[in-house]
Amino acid sequence: MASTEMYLTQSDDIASRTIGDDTLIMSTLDSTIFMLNSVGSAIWNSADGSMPLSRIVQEKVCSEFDVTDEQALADAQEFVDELVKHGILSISDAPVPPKEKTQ
Amino acid sequence: MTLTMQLPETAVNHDVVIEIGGFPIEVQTTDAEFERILRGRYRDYLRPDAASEFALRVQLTNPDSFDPDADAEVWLEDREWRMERGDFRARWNPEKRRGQVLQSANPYSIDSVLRIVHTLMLAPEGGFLLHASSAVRNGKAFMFSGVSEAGKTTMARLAPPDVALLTDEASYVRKRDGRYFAYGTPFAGEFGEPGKNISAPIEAVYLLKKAPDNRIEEIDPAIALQRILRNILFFAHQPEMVRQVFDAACAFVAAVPVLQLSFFPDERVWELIG
Repeated sequence: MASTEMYLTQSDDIASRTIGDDTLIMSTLDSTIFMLNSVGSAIWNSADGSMPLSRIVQEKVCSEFDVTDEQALADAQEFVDELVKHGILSISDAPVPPKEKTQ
Repeated sequence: MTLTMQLPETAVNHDVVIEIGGFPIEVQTTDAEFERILRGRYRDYLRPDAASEFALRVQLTNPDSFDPDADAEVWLEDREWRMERGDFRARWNPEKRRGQVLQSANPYSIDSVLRIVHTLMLAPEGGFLLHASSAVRNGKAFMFSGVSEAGKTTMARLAPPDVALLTDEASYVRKRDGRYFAYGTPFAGEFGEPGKNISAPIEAVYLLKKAPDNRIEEIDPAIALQRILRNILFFAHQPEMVRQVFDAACAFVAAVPVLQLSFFPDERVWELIG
């Protein structure tokens, strides 16, 4: 999937809390705990299905952290893949309306 | 799986009310020997005068009828919690506040069922059991949490005489009037002794780390939450229950200092506590 068409949506099967710059996420399916650092939190907190990953990286990561666009996007894709693998984030190739978010 | 209770009409009741954390549960049995086991194990937690709104009816059965190596499982079915391990089967109805247990005449099965039932009762009100030892000093409760071998039982063993131990294994946390209290429990670990049946407001949680010297350090709040979540004992991995436990941990960490206690295992560590 092309990164410019990757829209992210948080799963409904999680509980999460951002404390300071970090975010704790707990899967309600298997109780696995994830801790995201400030970059991961920036991506996570923008994962509402409305903004493609490339734009999230540009606006939330590159503008805030000292990293190149290419490196940031590559790292973000790897990060997203990991969260998708654990079922706490889903991806779509089109914007996801708020009331029709995928699980 | 079915779990039915068929008690003989002529059965004599040998009921025992066990109060832990302010929840009195009437354990109902018709077996005099099992009553004796219960009275011995929970001797400091018996409420002979209590009319309990919570009840567990125990039916004794042959221990060979279960797989002794199975892991405990807890799940929600028809609005009842079901619990099953190699040595027991049980159900708990949170609305009726009644449950049933099928087990052999041993104290370990009912002990495990009680732990699970208490976690189920505590979660909706923001409480939980924490994998920690805890103690009261000068009217304040202190908890010592960590993974196995972190030093929970060591802290209990090193406690000076003015310290009242609540547990060396499973600390009981209950929210009352907006404050968090620790309660003594009969749930003992390696220490082998039940905790003192008292409660006190929680002053701090110490995450244990063995070190060449003793010191207390602040830790990042997100890491504190992560460590507390990892050490909360909960058996029912059902989405609503997980959310309740998660929210309970968040509220607890926001209200109670969670610190790291690096310690050398001798009695001097208690000079930092209280």
